[in-house]
Amino acid sequence: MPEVSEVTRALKPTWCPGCGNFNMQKALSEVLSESGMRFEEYVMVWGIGCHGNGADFYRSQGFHGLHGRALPVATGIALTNPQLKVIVEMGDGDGYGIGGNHFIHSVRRNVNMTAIFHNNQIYGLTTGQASPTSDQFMKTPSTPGGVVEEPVNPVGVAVAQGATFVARGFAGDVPHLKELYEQALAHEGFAIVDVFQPCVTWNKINTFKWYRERAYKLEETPDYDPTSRTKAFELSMSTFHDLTCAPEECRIPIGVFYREEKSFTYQDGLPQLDRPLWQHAQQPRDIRSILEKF
Amino acid sequence: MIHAAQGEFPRVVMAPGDREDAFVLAWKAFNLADQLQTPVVILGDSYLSDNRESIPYYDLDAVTVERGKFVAEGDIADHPEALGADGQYFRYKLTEDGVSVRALPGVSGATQLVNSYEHDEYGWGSAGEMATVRSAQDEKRMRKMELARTLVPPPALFGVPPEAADVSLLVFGTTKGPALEAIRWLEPEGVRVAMMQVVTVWPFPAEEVLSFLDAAKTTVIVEGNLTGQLQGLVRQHCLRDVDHTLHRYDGRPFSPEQIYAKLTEVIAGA
Repeated sequence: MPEVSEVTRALKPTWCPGCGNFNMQKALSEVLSESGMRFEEYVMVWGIGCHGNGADFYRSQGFHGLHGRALPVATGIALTNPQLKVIVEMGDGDGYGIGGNHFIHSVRRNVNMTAIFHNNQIYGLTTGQASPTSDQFMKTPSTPGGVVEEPVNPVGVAVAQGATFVARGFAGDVPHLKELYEQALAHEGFAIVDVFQPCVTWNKINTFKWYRERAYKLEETPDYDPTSRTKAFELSMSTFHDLTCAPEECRIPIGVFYREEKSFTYQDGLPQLDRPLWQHAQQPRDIRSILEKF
Repeated sequence: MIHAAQGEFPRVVMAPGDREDAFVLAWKAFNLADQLQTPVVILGDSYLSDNRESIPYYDLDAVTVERGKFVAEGDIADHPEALGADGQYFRYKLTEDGVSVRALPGVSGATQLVNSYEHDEYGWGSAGEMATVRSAQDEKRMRKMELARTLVPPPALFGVPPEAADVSLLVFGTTKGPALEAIRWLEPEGVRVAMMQVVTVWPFPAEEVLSFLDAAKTTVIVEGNLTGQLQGLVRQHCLRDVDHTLHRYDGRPFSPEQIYAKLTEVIAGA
C-alpha cells in the first residue's frame, strides 16, 4: 500500500492558506493510500482552475488537460483500458460551466469512473468572478449588480439525467468526505461527488462557517432512502435559496443523494473492451471482406 | 491548419487529392502521429468526401502500423532510454530527435503527468514555468519537424518532367483531379504539361518545389482559395514566385474546362 506521502508530492501547494482544496487532497490521498491501489492501477485527470493546480501536487498517472475538458479525456482513458480506475477532478466553472455539456453526456453514458467537483461557487483562480454555481444576486467583480441567473443545480441535473451515483461532500468534514470517496470509487458506473469547498479568498458568503451552520448529513437523516430518484431530486432543490438566507431557512444536505447498485455502464455496452484497445491495433486489420461487398 | 496555435508547436498537414490519396494518407497519418507524437492533420474538402467514384482495390499489403517510441505494457525499468538519471520515467525526456518514449498508463513505474501547461521532463507544470525548462521543451518539440521531413510523403509528379514541359502546374488537394483531366485534354493538341501535387503541405517541401519550379519554363499555381495560400508558401519558403495563378473560391471545385482554358491562355501568351 503506497503511503499518503507517496501519493502526494513533497511540494507546497499554491492554494491559499485555509483553502478547501487542502482538505479535499487530504481526504483523497488518504483514500488512495488506504485503497492499496498501485500507481499503475489508476489515472487522475484534472481540468483547469485552482483544483487543477493539484495535478502538480499528486504523484500518479495523471493528465492535466484543457479547461472544461477533463471528462472527455477521462472517458477516453476509461474506454481505452478498462483495467484502469479513472478519477476526475474538476471545478464548478470548469465542470458545470465550460464543461457543462460534457457533464450531462457523461452522466447519460454512465462511464465507469469517479468525478469529483471542487465546488466553491466562484472562479477562484481568476480572482473571484461569478461561476455557474454562484447564488443568484451574489455580487462579484464580474457581476457588480449581482448575478442575474439561477445557479446550476449539479445534483439535480445529474439525478434527472439518470446518474447512478450522486453524492455531495463538504471540505470541512474530511472523515465524511472520505466515506463518500470510498463509495464513489467502489461504484460501478459514473460516480459524482460534488464537494462544497469554500474559497477563503474570494467567496465571503459561502464560507466554512456558512456551510457548518447549514449542512446536515443524509446518513443521519431518518428514513432517507438513497434509492429514490424523486426524493433525491426534491432534495437537490435546496440549491435554490435566498442569497442571505438564515441557517434555519436553508438547510443543505450532504451525503449520498442517490445510488443505483446495478446499472448498465458504457463499458458494459462495448464488447471490444475485453482487453485494452492498444492490443487491437498492433497489426493492420484485413478489410478485404468488407471491400468485396462493393 | 499550419499557423493555428496557442504558441508554436510542430505538426504535419497533408492534403489528399483523391480517394486513394485519402486512404493512403489516413493510415500514414496515424503512423506519423505516433512516430512524431504530434498532431497530424488531413486537409479534406467536400469535393473529396461527398462524391462517389469506382476505384481499383487499394493496396492493402502496403499498410503498416508504426507506433514509434511506444511502451504499452510491462515495466518501464526495462526501457532505460526512457528514464532520467535517478531512474525516474520522463515522459518528456529531452532527446535528439525531439521524441520521448511514450508509456501508456498501466505500465509499471511509469507515473507521469501529461500536461497542457509547459512542463519539465517529468510533466510537472510548476517546473515548466522556469525559463530554461520552457526553452528546452520548446526546442525539443520543434526538433520533431526535422524528423517529420524524413518521414512525410513527398510531392507527387504527373505528366512530363518540368524540363520537357511547355507549362508546369503546381497544385494541392482535390485540384489534382480536374487538373489531370485538363492535362489529358491538352495531350492530343501536343501541349506537354508537368504537374506537381504538394501532398504534404506542412512541413513544406521547399527543396522539391524549388527544383520543380526552377526546371520549368512557365509556372502556374491552380488553387481553390482567394488569397493564394500555396503561392504564399512558395514565396515564403522558396523565395521565388510563379508566373501565373488561377483561383476558385466560390465554394465549388475546379472544373477541367477552367484549368484547360487557363493553360491554353498561358501557352498562347508565352
